[in-house]
Amino acid sequence: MIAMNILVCFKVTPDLDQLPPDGWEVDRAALTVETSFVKAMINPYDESALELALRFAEDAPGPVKLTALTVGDRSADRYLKMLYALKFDRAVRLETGADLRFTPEGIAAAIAAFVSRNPHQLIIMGRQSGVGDNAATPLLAAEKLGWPCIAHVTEIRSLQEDLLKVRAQADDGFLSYAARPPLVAAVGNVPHAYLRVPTLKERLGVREKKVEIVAAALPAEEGAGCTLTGLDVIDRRRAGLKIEGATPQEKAGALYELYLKERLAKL
Amino acid sequence: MKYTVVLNGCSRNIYSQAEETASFVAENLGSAPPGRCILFYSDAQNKEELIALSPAESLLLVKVKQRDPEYYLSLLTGLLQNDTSSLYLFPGDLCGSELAIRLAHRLGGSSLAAVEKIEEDGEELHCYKTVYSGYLRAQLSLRQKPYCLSIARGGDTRRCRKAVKVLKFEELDATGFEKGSPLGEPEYEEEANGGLELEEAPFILVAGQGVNSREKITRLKEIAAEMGATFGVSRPVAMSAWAPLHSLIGVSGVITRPQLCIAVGISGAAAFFAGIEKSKYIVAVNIDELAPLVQSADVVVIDDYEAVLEELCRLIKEQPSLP
Ligand SMILES: Cc1cc2nc3c(=O)[nH]c(=O)nc-3n(C[C@H](O)[C@H](O)[C@H](O)COP(=O)(O)OP(=O)(O)OC[C@H]3O[C@@H](n4cnc5c(N)ncnc54)[C@H](O)[C@@H]3O)c2cc1C
Ligand SMILES: Nc1ncnc2c1ncn2[C@@H]1O[C@H](COP(=O)(O)O)[C@@H](O)[C@H]1O
Repeated sequence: MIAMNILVCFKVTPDLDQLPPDGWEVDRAALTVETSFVKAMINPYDESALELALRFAEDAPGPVKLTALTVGDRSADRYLKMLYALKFDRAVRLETGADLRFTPEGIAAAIAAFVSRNPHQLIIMGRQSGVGDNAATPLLAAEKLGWPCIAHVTEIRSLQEDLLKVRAQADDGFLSYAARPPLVAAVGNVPHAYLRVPTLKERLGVREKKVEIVAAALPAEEGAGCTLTGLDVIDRRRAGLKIEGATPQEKAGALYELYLKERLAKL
Repeated sequence: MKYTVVLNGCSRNIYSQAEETASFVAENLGSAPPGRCILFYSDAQNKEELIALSPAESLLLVKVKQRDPEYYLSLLTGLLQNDTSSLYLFPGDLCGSELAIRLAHRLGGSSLAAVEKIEEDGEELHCYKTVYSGYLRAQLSLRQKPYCLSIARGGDTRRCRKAVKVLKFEELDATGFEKGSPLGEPEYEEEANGGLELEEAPFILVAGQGVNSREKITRLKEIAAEMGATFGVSRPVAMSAWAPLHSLIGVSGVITRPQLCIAVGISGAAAFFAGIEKSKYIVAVNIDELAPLVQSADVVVIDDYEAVLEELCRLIKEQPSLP
């Protein structure tokens, strides 16, 4: 049986929740924010995408080859190595030093170009990634490849050879597809889909494996893309009035009497 | 700027789609010539009701046999071949935000998701939207027409809008459209109690990761019911499947706009806060004085949520006239 090739695309992003509220300073000229000192992480949706791919491979009736891919700089390599330890067959980085914050067109084009040289039947991505919050890359990758796409995916299973069951969130329920590859799946909110952690032994087992690095000339599709022309911190402060009291019960009482009673009566 | 609004009348959230797009049009395209609306619907919907929802004077009702984005996209690509709109507007829900990006690609234009505001400036369209997981607001400029935008959810739809009277009305029966979707027809499961209830609720109680077990989440859900509040959760709670997906609040879930929101055990990440930002009044209960939500709430209790909420529930229940 021919193996099914699955490509999972992920992005390494700074964990922006770690930046203290007063740590947001915009460089007005460059339109950037210094985030290099906060912890990096795999974008949460991509974590789910990677985990769903691993589960799919475990349960599939036929052989599956998993490739993990990211477009970016060296800082992603330790995640790619970790994915080797989790049994990804290939770990690829399309190398670029470009500013990737608002370039879903370019990233999608680089991914599509990779797929045209390295045939895959299923591409699994996250639905949205931090920093740019573009929510566009998987949709554009599908369009560039001329493949169908299912967004907000919550489940991917093998129904039979060459037929997938894909379940996706819709605005007032769920849609379930019986779909034949090729296909792009953009993973949404999936309960219980945190990425597993490799054991020390698994990590040591892949110590010698090298990340595949391929130069990614991001096509300059200026016209179709968008240009960042302004960046501002959003001030969300409210009064933040603190309720005093010696015990939780006292505080609850004060909260109720002073601030909630009247409001509740008006609801 | 000639514009067209595209709505998914097959989805039960059609009212918020219509309100959201109408208020975006009123605030951003007030001086543009009257626009057009394309509205998909199926046999199951009340046509008269849908017509009354149109945010534009010219309405094209398209009857469809399938209600998934891939199908709509094939239809739209054909329908808009010779259309001269420079702007296509979609609601910010799951379907709309997908269609905007993909349609732009097919029409050779440019796209952006979750746009709050636009300004036309000669050859460019300046769009404002939140970025950096919701911590910053960016101005992004598009040059390539047609512009296909989905609107940021949670815009101020309560402001009373001028009723739009449909002056030009056309219908198209596309149920015979065979080329439809390359994926075939999906099965649709209606969600018993979608996020729609949470979206409309006047009073919500939201629990975060600080409420750290399934049992405690279940207890808080009871407390919510006893207090007359609708229950919601932050992402980590939904990811642990301690509460259903449709009760997830934030950019990736429901955007609420209650009169009163009580948030317990929640740090207040921007991606979450976007979901309660439109609350008239926010109460935060957190053990950590430095949690970001402490600054973004109207009033805060620094303490363990459990004792505070049990007592609060008792007080509210004692009050005879309450919901
Ligand atoms: C692209 C993207 C989209 C996202 N979309 C969403 C979204 O839609 N919705 C969402 O919620 N998140 C979303 N997130 C995640 C978000 O960034 C945060 O990680 C998340 O909101 C944190 O949830 P939390 O506040 O419940 O948990 P935590 O950040 O862990 O906070 C728990 C809080 O509970 C407090 N606490 C602990 N014990 C107690 C106690 N006994 N009593 C009172 N307080 C206590 C702690 O002090 C802490 O402040 C998204 C992230 C990304 C990257
Ligand atoms: N630099 C990147 N490398 C690989 N995949 C990416 C990259 N940027 C975005 N993606 C994928 O596209 C999804 C959506 O990202 P975005 O369109 O930026 O919101 C992410 O969840 C990833 O799966």
